[in-house]
Amino acid sequence: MKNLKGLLAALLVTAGIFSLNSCDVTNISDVILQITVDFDPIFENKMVPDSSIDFTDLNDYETYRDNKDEIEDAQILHFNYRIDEIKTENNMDIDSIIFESVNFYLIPTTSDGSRIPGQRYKLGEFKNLHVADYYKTAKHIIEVPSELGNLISEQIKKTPYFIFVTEYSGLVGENVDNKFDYIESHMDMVLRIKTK
Amino acid sequence: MNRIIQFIIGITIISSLSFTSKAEFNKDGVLEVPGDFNLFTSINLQGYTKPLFTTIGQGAQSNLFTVASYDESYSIGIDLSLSSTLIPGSQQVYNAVLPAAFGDTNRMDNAVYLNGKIVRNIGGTVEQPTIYGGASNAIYVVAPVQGGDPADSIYKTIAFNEGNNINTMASIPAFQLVFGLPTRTELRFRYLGAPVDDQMYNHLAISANQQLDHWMNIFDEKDNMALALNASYQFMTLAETIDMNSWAVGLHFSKGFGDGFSLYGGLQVEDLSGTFYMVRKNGYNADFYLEDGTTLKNMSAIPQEQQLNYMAHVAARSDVETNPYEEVRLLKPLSFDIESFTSWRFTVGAAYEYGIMELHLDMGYASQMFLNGGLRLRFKEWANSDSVTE
Repeated sequence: MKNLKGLLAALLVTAGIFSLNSCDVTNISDVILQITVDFDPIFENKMVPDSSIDFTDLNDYETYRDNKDEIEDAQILHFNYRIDEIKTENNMDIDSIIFESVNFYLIPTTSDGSRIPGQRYKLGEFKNLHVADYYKTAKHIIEVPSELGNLISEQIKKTPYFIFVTEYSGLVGENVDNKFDYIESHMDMVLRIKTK
Repeated sequence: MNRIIQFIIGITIISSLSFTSKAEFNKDGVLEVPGDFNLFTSINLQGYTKPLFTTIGQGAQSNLFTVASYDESYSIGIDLSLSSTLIPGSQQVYNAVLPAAFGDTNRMDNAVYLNGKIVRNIGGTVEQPTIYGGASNAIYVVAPVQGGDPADSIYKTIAFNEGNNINTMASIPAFQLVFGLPTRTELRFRYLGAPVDDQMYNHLAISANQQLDHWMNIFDEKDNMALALNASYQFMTLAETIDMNSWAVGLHFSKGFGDGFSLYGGLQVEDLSGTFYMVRKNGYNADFYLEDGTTLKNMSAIPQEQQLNYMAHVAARSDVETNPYEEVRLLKPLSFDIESFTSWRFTVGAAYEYGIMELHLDMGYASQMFLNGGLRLRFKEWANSDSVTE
């Protein structure tokens, strides 16, 4: 019988520890949501290599506005890149346009668009980018490394203003048409926001 | 204690239901969310919250019995119990329903980043986290893929709410009044009433335990064993938004070992059902639409006294005009049937009685494994002869 009482006592202690380690309903007060931020940079009447930029203000996103005073953490998870329209000066065939690389950067700014010195984050790159393979497709996704995502998280908590830079390299091949009338591209970026 | 319970209930209901938006009750007592509450449709909100309602239902139907031997006397007492559940992996995800065009490669191209891999052109449903789960998976979309400007399309990249990475969950504490009757019957009552905003959350429960074995002489008295039936009915309401009820029926058995120590176990079938109803601000009104239910009437067809509401509705619709879900675009209510994963449970436990106090602890198998523990105090006991035997 003493053993049984001991067993019950041990079970009670176990239950106590289990309960203390349990989340309770108050933990659901943490709300973690994802929002998509989109960029539509236009590269117009320029030679490559060069860059296109697009400015964004997270305040334009109602979900961000609703929660911005309670944001505990914000992280860029991944983004995708596609080309919606493209035309070189001499109407080069889309199948022949290949960039050596396309790099993507995020630069925090102030509300007037001024860049914050020393803050420029490379989010990722595509090498040997065949334009035809990026034309109106959703399949090209870049995962942002968590260390970088955390670094940017600190910036997102400080400022909701960003420039997204798409840096186009020169084209692969000889006798190519380096001047573009336009490159209309689109990026969707997924942010994870944790609020209290 | 009351303040703690009120706090817990308030947090549960409000945080569970408001998510990303500031929800509040309207004049009709219905929880109302702003029109930009666009991450959920009714069916996806049902899937996201079903494990939470399972926990609430399971907690409500826990701690209904301990030892199956009930005295032939009147008694009065209280029981305070806690319940904690283990959330299985299967309840950390649900199949979110995607908009109709998803998967139709003539209309769109889509891709989702799942566990380091890119999966393309998904349609129908996609696995997303429940309120207890982890990270969600946004779906990247481009449409139309032939002709037209993607900027004008309603099919754009969509995101989903994430879960809270919860593996174990404590339920709301159960405080019960316990009455014993000389028919070897025990009645238990629970009531929780707590203000949530300016509305009341009400939870009323009544359960009864009836010892059976002595009628059938199943056990020899010296074996100190007993068999009893337990039944319970409960309902929980929150204004006009939540209306749910739950019942449970089962058999439980116990064996005493002398010196106040007993082991007990039981098998119970149970159910939780009800309705959830929440509206979007300036939301859908059938009077504003033609017979097809989706085409707005002209302003001239709207009675003058409703024209202000009509204009507010039209303005609110403009905020969600590019949402791929028709329910969101039309600002229709969020309404679904409340369900639980749990339909039966098996319980084993132990109790130790010392004076007026009984410590009890049990654990068991149900859709969410659980551990319950509590303390019962029996203040007064009257034998059939009305003598106090405390």
